[in-house]
Order: sequence, then C-alpha cells, then structure tokens
Amino acid sequence: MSFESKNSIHIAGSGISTGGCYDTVVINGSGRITGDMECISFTTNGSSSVEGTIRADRATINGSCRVKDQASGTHYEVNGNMAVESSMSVVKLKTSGTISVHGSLSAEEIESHGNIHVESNCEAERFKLEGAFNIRGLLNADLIEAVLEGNSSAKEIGGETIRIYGKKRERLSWFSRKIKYPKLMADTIEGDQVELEYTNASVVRGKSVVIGPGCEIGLVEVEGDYRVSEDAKVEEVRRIGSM
Amino acid sequence: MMEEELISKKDLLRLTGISYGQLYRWKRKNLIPEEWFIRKSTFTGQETFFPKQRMLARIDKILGMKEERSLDELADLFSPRLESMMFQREELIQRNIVSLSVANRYFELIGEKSPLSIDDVLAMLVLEDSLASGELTADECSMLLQLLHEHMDRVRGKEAELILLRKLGISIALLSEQVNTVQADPGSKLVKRISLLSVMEQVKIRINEWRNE
Repeated sequence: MSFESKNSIHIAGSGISTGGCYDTVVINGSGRITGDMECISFTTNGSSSVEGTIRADRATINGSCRVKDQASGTHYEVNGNMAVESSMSVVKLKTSGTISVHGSLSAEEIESHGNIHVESNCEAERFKLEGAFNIRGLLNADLIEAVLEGNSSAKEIGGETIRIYGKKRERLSWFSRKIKYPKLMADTIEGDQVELEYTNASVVRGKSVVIGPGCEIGLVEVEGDYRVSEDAKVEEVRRIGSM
Repeated sequence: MMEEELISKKDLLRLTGISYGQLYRWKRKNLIPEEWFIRKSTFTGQETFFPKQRMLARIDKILGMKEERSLDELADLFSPRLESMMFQREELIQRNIVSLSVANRYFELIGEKSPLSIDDVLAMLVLEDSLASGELTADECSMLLQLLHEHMDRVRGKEAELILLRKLGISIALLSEQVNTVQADPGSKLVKRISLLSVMEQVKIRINEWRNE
C-alpha cells in the first residue's frame, strides 16, 4: 500500500513512489523511490532504495537502504546498512552497521560503530570509529580516533590528531598473545600528534609520534617527542629539526 | 605548461611554520586545490610536493586573512562560484572555451553582449554541440538556442534536456525539465537530445582547466 498526501509519502508493506519534494517520507517494509528526492525527514524501516539523489535534513535508516546517486543533507543515522553509489556529503553521520560510499564521503562529524567503506576520499572534522574502515583514498580529519575491531586500510591518513588503538583485550591470558589483532594498513600517516597501535605503514610523519604495540613502520619522521613500544618494529627513524 | 619549482610537504611546513593539521584542514576546505598536491615516489616512498611559488603565495594569503575571515569565506574567495563569474568575450575565445565561429554565431542569434555570464557559456556549448553533430540545420540550432535562452531561469542546475523532433519536414524544439520523459510517436524522428547537466559539466571542466593553468 502506498499512500501519498501532498507533503508526505508513506509506504507500508511494499510500494513505489516517484521522487520530488516532501516534508516526511516514511517507508515501513520495502519501498522504492524512482527519482531524485528532497525531504525534511526520511525514515525507513526495512529495505528501501532511492534511484536518484537524496537530500534530507534528517534521515534515519533502520535496515537497509541503497541510493543510486548522491546523498546529502544534515543529519544521517544508519542502523543497519546503507550503500551510496555516488558521493555523500552531510553534516553529521552516525552509523552502527555498515556504510559504503562509492565516491567520496564528507561530513563534519562521523561517528561509527561498525564498518565504513569509501572508494575515494573521506573527510571530516571529527572521525570517531569503533570498528573497521576501508578508505581507498585519503582519510583527512582534524581528529581521527579509531579502535580497530576489524582489519582496516587507508591509502593516506592526515590530520591534526590521529589515534589508532588496537582492539580492547578482554582478558589477559596465555593465549591472548596468540590472538591476531586486527590491523590497520596505510601508506602514509601524517599528523601533529600521532599515536598508533597495530598499524602497518610505510611512512609516519608527525610533530609528536608514539608507536605502540603491534606496529610495523618503515620510516618515522618526527620533529618533537618520539616513543616506541618494545612490541613494535620501526626500520628507520629520522629526526627533523624545525627551522 | 612551464616547469615549476616544486617543494616537498616537509620542507613547506618547515619553511612556513604551519602544521600538518592546518594543511589538511585547508585541503578539506578547498583552500588549496587538489591539483597542487603532486605525488611523487622518492627513495623513501611516496612524498607529496607542491608548486613552490603558488603554494607559498597562497599560504601567505591565508595566514594574512584568516584573522578576519572564516575558512569558508576564504574558500569562496579562492574558487569563486561559477554562478557569479563573468567572462569577457575575448578571453573565452583565447582560452579555447568556445571557438570563434561558435561565438560569432551566438552573438548573431542573441545580439552582442559583454560581459557574459555562465548561462551564456552554457548556451554557447549547447550551440557548439548541436552545430558539431552535423545533424541539425542552422535554423534548427538557433531554434534550440532561442528556446533555451527564454527558459534559462527554469532549467538552471536541473537535469533538463533539449530535444529536437522532426516530422514530415517540420522540426520542433522541446525543452523538458526532466530527462528521458518525452516520447515521440513512431512517425517522427528524434534528431537530437542534449542533456544540459552534462553540457554544464563540460563548461566546468573547461573553466577549471583554464583557472589552473
């Protein structure tokens, strides 16, 4: 059943609607929007797809949602699964589950418990994650704080403060040493304050750098403080004097 | 393009005293164009270089103005929005954004005009596209252009489409505010379809190339 008033779409069960400009769009069950859509609030419980662009002030996705073109707006919350087949640009993105963006992802704030996949660059003022991320391009944020719950990767990481932590150890026992911890793989990591755990990188550059356990780093270039854990491998350290 | 002296990111930060945080923030805010980040492999792996003179000048400007303006305002300043740009007829031709013959034809149709807005550039590229295909007569091209000219306000930024139909030797120009929504009866021939958004993309590409020279 699909019911359409002047300013809202409500799909309960299974339905199809064209795009357009609406106040509220609610999809309970399975729904398909066949064009570009602009709305104040977009809520879907179940499975939905937008076959064009979506622009929403507030989007709540419980279940799964696929967007064919760009996604933009203010506040997006994803509980479940969202796939954007183009770029995504929002103010705040909160996810528990998986979000994959085929283009670039930009937001002021990204807070994630789960997985983030970005085919191009990912930009934010604050990027906080407990889970895993795979970013094909550059991860660029003022603050990057990630707890690795799964293997992660990024071509480059840059910003002011970068903190990568290994998965929290549940209990220290004799076999906890044998457990393979999830790792982050990156080419270069550059920041003012860089703290890394369980990270493999060719080059790490920073003002102050802390290399924690489980790291394998080719080259560290550091200007100020430098600490390295006993459980880390660093092939070369270069001190860079400031002028 | 002239060989320009490059500076590595490391040396740039040392020379200017800015931090990684600042540099990456400016990059995010588009204060520094993506094209200026030149990646090269060195014996230590990948390093990023910048065109030295342009980069130093840009950083100087940012540092000089960041007290009184927000980063977003600065971004506007460095890459003005296309909508507000105006062009001189000569520079469009010199920079190969439009060819001389297309420009002349355009002015014949709508009258002499300078400076030109981005809408004019879009219309010129539409004209170029329809002239170049060789499928349209000169009259048909001008018909399309007149139509676009009259309704520019309605289709600006939209995924609109210009269509030319022919039936029994009579041609009709249509402007649709959506793409692929118009169906023609089998007896008439759809001669040309021009997506305005893709022409607009072309306009942007050409203007950006020129700006980054």
